Amino acid sequence: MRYILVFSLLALIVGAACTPRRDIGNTLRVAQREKIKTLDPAHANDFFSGTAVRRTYEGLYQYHYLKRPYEVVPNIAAAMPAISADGKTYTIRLKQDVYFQDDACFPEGKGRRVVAKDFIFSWMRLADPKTASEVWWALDGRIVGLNEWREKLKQGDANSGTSHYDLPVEGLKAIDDFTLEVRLTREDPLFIHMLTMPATTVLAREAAEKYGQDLTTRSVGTGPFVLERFEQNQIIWTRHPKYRLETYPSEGEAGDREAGLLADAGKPIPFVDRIIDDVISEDQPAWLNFQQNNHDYLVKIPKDNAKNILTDDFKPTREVSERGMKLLSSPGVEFSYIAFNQTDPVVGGPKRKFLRQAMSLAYDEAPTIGMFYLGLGKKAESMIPPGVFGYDSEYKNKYREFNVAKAQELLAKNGFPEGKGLPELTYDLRSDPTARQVAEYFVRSMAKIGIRIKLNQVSWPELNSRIAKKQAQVWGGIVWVYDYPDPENGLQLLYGPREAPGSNKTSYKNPAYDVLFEKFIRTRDDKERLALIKRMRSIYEEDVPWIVAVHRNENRLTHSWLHNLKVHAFEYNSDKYLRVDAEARKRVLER
Amino acid sequence: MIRLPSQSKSLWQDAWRRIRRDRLALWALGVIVLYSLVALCSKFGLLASTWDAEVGGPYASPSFENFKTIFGTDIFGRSVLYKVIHGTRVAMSVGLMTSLIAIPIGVTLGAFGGYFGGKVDDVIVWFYTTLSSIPGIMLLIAIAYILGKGLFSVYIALGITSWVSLARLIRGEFMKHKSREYVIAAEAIGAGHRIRIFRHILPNVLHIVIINMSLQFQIAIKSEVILSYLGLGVQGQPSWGVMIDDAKLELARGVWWQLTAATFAMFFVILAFNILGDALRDAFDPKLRKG
Repeated sequence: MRYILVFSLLALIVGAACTPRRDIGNTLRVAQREKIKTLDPAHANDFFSGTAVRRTYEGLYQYHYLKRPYEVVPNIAAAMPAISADGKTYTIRLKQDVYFQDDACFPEGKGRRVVAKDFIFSWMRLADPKTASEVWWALDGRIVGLNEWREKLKQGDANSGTSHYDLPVEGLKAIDDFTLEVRLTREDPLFIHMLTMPATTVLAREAAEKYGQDLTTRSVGTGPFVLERFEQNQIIWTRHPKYRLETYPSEGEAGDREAGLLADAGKPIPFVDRIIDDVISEDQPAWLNFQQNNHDYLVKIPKDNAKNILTDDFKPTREVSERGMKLLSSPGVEFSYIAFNQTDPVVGGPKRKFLRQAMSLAYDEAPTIGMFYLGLGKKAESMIPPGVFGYDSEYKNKYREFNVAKAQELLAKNGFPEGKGLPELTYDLRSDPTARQVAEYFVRSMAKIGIRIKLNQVSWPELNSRIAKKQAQVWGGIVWVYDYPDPENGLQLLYGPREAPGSNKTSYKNPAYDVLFEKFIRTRDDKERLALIKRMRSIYEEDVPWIVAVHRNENRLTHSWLHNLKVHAFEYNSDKYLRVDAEARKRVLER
Repeated sequence: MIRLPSQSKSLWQDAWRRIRRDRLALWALGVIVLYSLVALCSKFGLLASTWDAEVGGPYASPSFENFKTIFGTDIFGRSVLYKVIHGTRVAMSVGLMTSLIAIPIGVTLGAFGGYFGGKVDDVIVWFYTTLSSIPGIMLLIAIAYILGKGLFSVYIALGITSWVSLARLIRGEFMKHKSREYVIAAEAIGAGHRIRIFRHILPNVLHIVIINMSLQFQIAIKSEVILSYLGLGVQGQPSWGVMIDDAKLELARGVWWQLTAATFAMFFVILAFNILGDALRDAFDPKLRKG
């Protein structure tokens, strides 16, 4: 029955998408899995808009394409910033051969050179209340004088006549055309990550003034690609003719050379002349299009089609291996968890530490990866996922082994032998089949040591509000995805002063942890940072404010003719590194 | 002297005779009785009380070797057959409880509106038109949120949203009957409102309640499935809706048995109720009689 359904769908789609297969040359064809909301860097706050923005807009820094843990490297900046001794002043040299694309907003339609002032303008635009940027948080409170400038604008026009953008911002200075000086409000090792985000990319003032709101659907950038056409369901990009010489990285992590990822080392990028983005949000059509060779790679592999890609023991299926498709899977920079409300009298606080330790020990994680994540994931031991500084593959969390006997012992130690005397717990989750099955599995695991749990399925907004109001007791099925590859982003989730409704959703409080964390965010030395991470880890390992569950994988499926694809959790614009073997593809398409 | 037949057939006896003649309706009735028995057995722990136990590996396909695995197993290796049986209990209880809540409300309000007319009728009509102008599913979700999740709130939510059509029918019948001779005669010999409504008119419109109940029953079952599918229904125990929700992801793995089992279980009982509802209508409506 299933096959009939699939075939009828297939027939429908093939019928509809049967465009003549002309030679498409050196074009990369991608299925974007959501509508592109905007091309404006100040509004791109989701993955797909971010991807589109980074096709054409560039920032000062970017993440190294191949190296793991993720490493920040220069993009428009000529080198890493020179940081003053107090850690507050950043002096950044710019490359001198960066040009905006040709556009009618420039004199004679010729794109001009990018100078330091352009960054000052772009960041002020991000701060401008009129822009109403969704990604202003990236710079909020970080640069001296920028928040004050924003406040002044909010309060209304004090000196009409001159544009606000001509008013100085104390912490932003163009020393010369190619040197930018940024003064920060405090020592801030995370600032560099903000400079890699789509939000802080460079936009020409001429373009902002000429196009205003129209920047949602047009773009004037410096990047490797130039927008050719923007439609609801299709976006076409062509190579930027005046793009400076950038080369493919020549170093990577172990295994990259064997995987062929260094074959193009040192060659100029981008490799493709054109990119066609088709917006296909439904899983089934996305998969069928990929299978029909209409796209070169597939982001976000439809769960429903895992069977077509993987066999029951998680090996590639015959179709996948015969056609030379490749499944690329690497741990996502994230972790899922089951959380305990630390203000709850039953499960929270130091008095119920042994109860939480017992629950953690009684929860057997290993089978869940096969059950819920197609075998593509890794059991989590701490909040720091692979690919982030401080991840330790040797580390084993004491309470993350599966040990029912020890769990029972700890349960008795907390005064609940075999769960007796412990009231029924409530586990909140969002209405979603996978989340529910994960919850059911948890309930079954806990039942084995005598702990009874009642499920409460709620909508996503309601779950968030219950957590924020500290009403939820135990909850799960939530994933924390890192905003930037710095351990701070995970460690801050247990920092006391940020208790719910802040990012510390469990409202975990341990003064010893807080002191270490405060020290950690001011520390730049890697060795010291690592030592602090270990000390913090030993504290939360013992307290078990939550059970860290799984690092799910990020997956891509590619065709045989696509080269250089490596899963990257932060670099939105990987497409500039991709090479299509157009000849090989032509042979397959003509077959 | 004219001798009347010693036993004249009442409407009810006549209807029962007609139903007995209708093979299909009897089958439908049989199916419903069977489902009710299964639900009762499950309720009293005689059947499928161990639905939570593992009976095999995860996603074992249906096999006839063992009674428990006749419909295969789910992600945790639990018997799908047992889950279907437990789901039957949930579904039948929802149908029954919903009817028990909806019928008194519908009958009372419909009777008062139709009988008294005037202001009372205006208020009642205003009330149920307002209620029925709110999209049903939105109302159900709102009630489920207020009362919390679980089987109990499903009963309440479905009960207090599904009486409107019954109230409408009863109101119409009461308007028709209140000026009939037998009611006027009752009034003439001094019967009060209460006697006239409950003793005289109500028995004459009760068949509408029966027909409506058989149709309402299956709507309630379907609604429970939808609510559970949306995660607003039963929590932490199997129901047909939850099973179908599971199947959404499992189908891709080729696990079709959970969907099939739940769908067929639902299909037969709803079909049976529909057939019986139609047969009841035929049996009770004198205009449809062929002889």
